[in-house]
Amino acid sequence: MQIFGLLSVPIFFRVALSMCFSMLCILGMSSFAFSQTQTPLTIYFYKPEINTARNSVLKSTFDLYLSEHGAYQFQPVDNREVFETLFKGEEEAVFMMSSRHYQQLLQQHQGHISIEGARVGLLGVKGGSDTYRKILVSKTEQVDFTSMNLATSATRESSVSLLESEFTGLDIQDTSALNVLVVPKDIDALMAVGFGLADMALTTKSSLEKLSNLYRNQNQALYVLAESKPLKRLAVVFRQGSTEAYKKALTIIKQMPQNEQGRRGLNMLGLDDWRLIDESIAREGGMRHGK
Amino acid sequence: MESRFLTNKIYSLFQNNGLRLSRAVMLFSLIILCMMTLASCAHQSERTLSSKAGLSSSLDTPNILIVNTNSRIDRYAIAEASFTESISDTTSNTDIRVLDLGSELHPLEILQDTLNEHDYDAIYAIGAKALGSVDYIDPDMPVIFSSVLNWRRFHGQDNYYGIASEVAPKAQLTWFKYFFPEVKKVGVLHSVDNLQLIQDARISANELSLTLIASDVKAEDSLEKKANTLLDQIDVLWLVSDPVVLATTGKAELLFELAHKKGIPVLSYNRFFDDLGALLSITADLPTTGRQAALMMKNVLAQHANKESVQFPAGSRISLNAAKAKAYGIVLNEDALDSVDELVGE
Repeated sequence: MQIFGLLSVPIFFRVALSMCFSMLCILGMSSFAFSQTQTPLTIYFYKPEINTARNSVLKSTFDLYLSEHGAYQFQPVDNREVFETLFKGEEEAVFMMSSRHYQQLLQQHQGHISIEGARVGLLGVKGGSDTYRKILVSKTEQVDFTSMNLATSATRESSVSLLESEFTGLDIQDTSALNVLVVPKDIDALMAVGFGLADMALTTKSSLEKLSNLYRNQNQALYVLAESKPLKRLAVVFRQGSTEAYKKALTIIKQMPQNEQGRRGLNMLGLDDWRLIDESIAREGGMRHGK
Repeated sequence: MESRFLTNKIYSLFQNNGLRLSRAVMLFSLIILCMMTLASCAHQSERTLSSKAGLSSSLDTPNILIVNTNSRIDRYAIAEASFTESISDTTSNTDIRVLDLGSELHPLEILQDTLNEHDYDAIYAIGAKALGSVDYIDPDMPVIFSSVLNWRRFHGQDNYYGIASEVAPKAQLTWFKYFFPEVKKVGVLHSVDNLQLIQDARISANELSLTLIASDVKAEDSLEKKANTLLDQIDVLWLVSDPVVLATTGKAELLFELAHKKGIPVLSYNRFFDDLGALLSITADLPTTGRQAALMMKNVLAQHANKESVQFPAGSRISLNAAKAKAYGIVLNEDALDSVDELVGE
């Protein structure tokens, strides 16, 4: 009698073949399941005052911290429009953004169903304060916005908007002719004025203090022409359907100061802690390691 | 006689109803041939010279020629892009043409031809090859330059304006102090070429409560001996762009080796030294350089005087080797991390 097919193969090979097939099935199913459950949660970041050249270092620093806590990834965005599209379109994501930008988006899209699902969970803190002030400095006491150069670390659009809406007592009639020199950092803007490369600088009050502290002759011939209202620091906005997932993501970010890599990430953003805005999380015990 | 015969033959083929397809194919080929000829003519004129789209040209609008050493090299491409963007933002109706010398074997000829073909109001030269070519032809118009290492040669030259290639020494020292507040003694090796720079830096160092210890190096001196003597007196070694001290890569490597042996961190003016083990490098930010050049151009076109014919870059790009800071036991100001653009050695 002739034996055909699998039965013609010796028993050892038949067993081996069956085992391989079974293993393949198990591996295939488990990897499929893994891919389904491990889709990383993305933390998008955009802040007009932070130079996009720093995106790479921010991503690597945050990813190192986040990788210790699960499937999370940090994604800086270098374009305001792209970020806003993501903000409106992504239903499972976290957004780190300027508080002012968030408020502007809320006003623009009042009643927009996708915006309503967003909630601010955390606010950045530096030296115990969740606000900061912008200042306008110059080497001269009189400035002319139609002919002078302004050094700033933010985009032209953002700087002009800030000058027009957050500063009081400034005589800004026409900013269309204003020459804006966008520089990477607030300290660069100050030094640009100090070295005569720009006539004015829009910078932070803390940057002027830092620079002044370095020099023997503090505030060397720099006039603070105007000071902004207190501005809220970086906001962390959560858009997550599941409360559990939201609490988990919030807790991981909130606990950054307790870890060396996390502290470095915060320092990279000019912060040293987060303040919990959504108090309900603390009441429900979501923050296991305290506020 | 023979050609007449051929023409008749072709005509007869066209007359043949059975060969309609051949006629169509021939006609189509003729059209393609014409299109290719036209396209190649057009391509010939745009081979090296391109006009920036969206910018109109008329008799009243300023005409700017950008001469780029090589648009395919990142640092030159970035300067060109940010200049074009800034000038378009601040000066309406500007006609910008770009001459890329990257693949040109005879850059002077093509530059001369370009200048003859069109009337330009000013030139923006990016990189040494571009500036060298412009300087050789010496056109009677303002020239703004950037990304040129030997920019000092053009300092004070009539009609030449530009952005230096390194961040101002005062700014570099300020950043050093900000990152490492406990550093007191900064050492620097320099030749006579940098005497003025060192004198200015000494004043800045004093304002920052730093002591600058400078060692003058001549071409015939032993760099090793000079460096070892200096390294015994300082907290950090500061590298400045110097034609004698850093004449070769070997000399730079020797300095890093000697400093490393004595546990002295090296602070530098260019990211190039990161790979050799620099603790901190302060490099000029290229997009800012392009923007500054655009503002200078705007002043030149409006016939407003630029305060300085050559400006230092207003933007910095900072790379830090945090692991080295830890290894050297040097105190790093954690607040300064918000200014870091690149972490190296991680």
